[in-house]
Amino acid sequence: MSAASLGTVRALPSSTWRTARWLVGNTLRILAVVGPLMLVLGVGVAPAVVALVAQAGQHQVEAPGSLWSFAVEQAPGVFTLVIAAMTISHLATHLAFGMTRRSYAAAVVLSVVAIALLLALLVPLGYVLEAAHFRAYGWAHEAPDSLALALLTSVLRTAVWGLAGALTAAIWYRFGGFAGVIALPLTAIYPIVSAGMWIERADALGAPEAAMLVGLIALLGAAYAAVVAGVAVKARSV
Amino acid sequence: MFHGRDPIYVQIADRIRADVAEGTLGEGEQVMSTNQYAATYRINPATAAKAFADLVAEGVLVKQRGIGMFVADGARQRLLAARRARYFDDVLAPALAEARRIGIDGDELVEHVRAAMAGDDATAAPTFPAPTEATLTEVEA
Amino acid sequence: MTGFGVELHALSVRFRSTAALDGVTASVIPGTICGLLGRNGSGKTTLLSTIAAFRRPSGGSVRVDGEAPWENPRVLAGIALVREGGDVPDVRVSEVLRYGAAMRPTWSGEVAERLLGRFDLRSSQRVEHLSRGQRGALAAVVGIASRAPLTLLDEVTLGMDAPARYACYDELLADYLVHPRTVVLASHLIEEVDRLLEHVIVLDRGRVLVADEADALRARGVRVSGEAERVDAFVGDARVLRRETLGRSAVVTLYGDLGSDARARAREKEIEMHPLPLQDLFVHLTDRPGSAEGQGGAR
Repeated sequence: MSAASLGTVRALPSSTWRTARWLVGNTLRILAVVGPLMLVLGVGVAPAVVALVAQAGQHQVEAPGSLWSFAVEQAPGVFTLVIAAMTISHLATHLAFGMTRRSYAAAVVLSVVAIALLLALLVPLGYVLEAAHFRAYGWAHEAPDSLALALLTSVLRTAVWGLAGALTAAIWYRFGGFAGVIALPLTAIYPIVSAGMWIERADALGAPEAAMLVGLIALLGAAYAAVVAGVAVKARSV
Repeated sequence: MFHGRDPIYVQIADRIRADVAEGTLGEGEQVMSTNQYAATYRINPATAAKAFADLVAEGVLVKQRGIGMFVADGARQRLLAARRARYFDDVLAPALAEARRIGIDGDELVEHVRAAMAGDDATAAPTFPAPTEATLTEVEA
Repeated sequence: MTGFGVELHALSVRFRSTAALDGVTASVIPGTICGLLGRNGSGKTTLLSTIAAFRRPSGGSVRVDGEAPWENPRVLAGIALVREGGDVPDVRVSEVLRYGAAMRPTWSGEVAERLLGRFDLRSSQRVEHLSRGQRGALAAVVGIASRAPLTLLDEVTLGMDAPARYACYDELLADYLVHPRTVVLASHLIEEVDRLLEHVIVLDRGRVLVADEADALRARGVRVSGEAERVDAFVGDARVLRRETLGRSAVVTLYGDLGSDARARAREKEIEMHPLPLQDLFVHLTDRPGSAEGQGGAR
């Protein structure tokens, strides 16, 4: 491109990096609202409500199980949907702005892992706050033994859930609704594979599970790249 | 601006030819660039370029590299000469054919032509009333 | 080099059993504005999508700046396909512009900002809250400010009102004059875009009907009228698109090269000869035989 005739032609960093930044940045903005909300509701409001009900009923209530553990367990499923929607809605834009499918697939994999990392940072924060809140009511709190391990487990599992969502959505987009429905079980790939491997679904991360998760991430990433590599952009519905 | 049915490049060329013939555009004067035409009349610059190409081929315009399009020397004479040559076929012949059709006498025609070309004449009907003293003072008031 | 050229060679695109494009061979000269005309379903959108590598050809080839665009980072970075409604992130208008600046190497922030004002768009508006016309305007802003060496506009003005459309043409032309690029403009509103075009490609049912300089095409569309016998004699075996009689006169719409002496011959025979507006010529050329309008013009 002639610089003289088109004005400034700027040298930009790799499109993978730029898109990953955009995707992560966008998610962060949602997270900035949803994260505190989750904390406030799950760690703040919920135990308070339980305590209030106990007081009103004037009977002793046993300490509730850790709601945060439950949330941490369930969140990846939600993450699947969020990532599925986000990666599909942004694909056409990415291509329309003159970038390749290769760079998009790479950006998505990068972004999912990065977001999983960021989400995982919420995990220990939640546990710490919840423990403090429980102690205020005199309840015992079962936090996982090792927060660091819980963190790493969380990151890897979340990444798998996220990529499974991206892959399923990509299959639906490229091959149509029927194929998408058949591919739906892919979103549950983590429970399926870990059940099949007889892995203890404990909070702690064992070597077999770690290997499996990393393997899954690589597999899902490759499958995603393969599906996106040949995708045709759909006509717009205005 | 370009209402006529003729292609826009023809209209542009015609306008330039008319301006040169009438002296509005003097010899050696620069014509608007294709980009200026494009911006002013909201047309593709190639359209103006096409008009210019025709005019250069005719010898009406001359290109000075890097500067622009200028009215060529002798362009006015050439245009007027070409119009003179075409006059009898394009303008007069149809008028005469029409005259014949509606029954105007040949002699009447000749009289009329002579009088009109002579310039001052009592028998020719004036096209505009000459201003009288009265109308002039009205205007000034 | 001021823009990417496009070479299409026997290009075919098939959806299941339908051929949306069938053996399309044409080129777009770098740095020119080319109109892509065709009826609904003629293949315009498919063609532009294929050039922009939104989809792959089923057969034949497409080359942009000498290379196939599919997954080609250098070439793709220079192509901007703008569709009605635009493919923009679902954020605020100001963020769309920020996205454009981050993703397009040739993006002009000043042009983008100025055009927002021209089209009456506010930075704080969310894209999802824009009306159809406003989305079209935003798409136009992105398309023009991208300054891509190959800019493809697919019926961008469809949802826009007349003042907005004319603002769009003006701004496109103005920026094109300052920073030349290749523009392919697909539009139904031929009368409106006519004067912007240097070249024209007409598609009909997936095939190229005409690919030529706009002026050359316009010159081939002519309407002659006069005394019926004289007109028929004058027409000879030129291709007749339409013939109407009114008493002893006939009005015949013709398509073809009549020769440089045509005007003189017409004048001689007292036949009136008028050029046909591109829009009318287009309607005649793409009319379906068997309809009430279509007479003659057999392929």
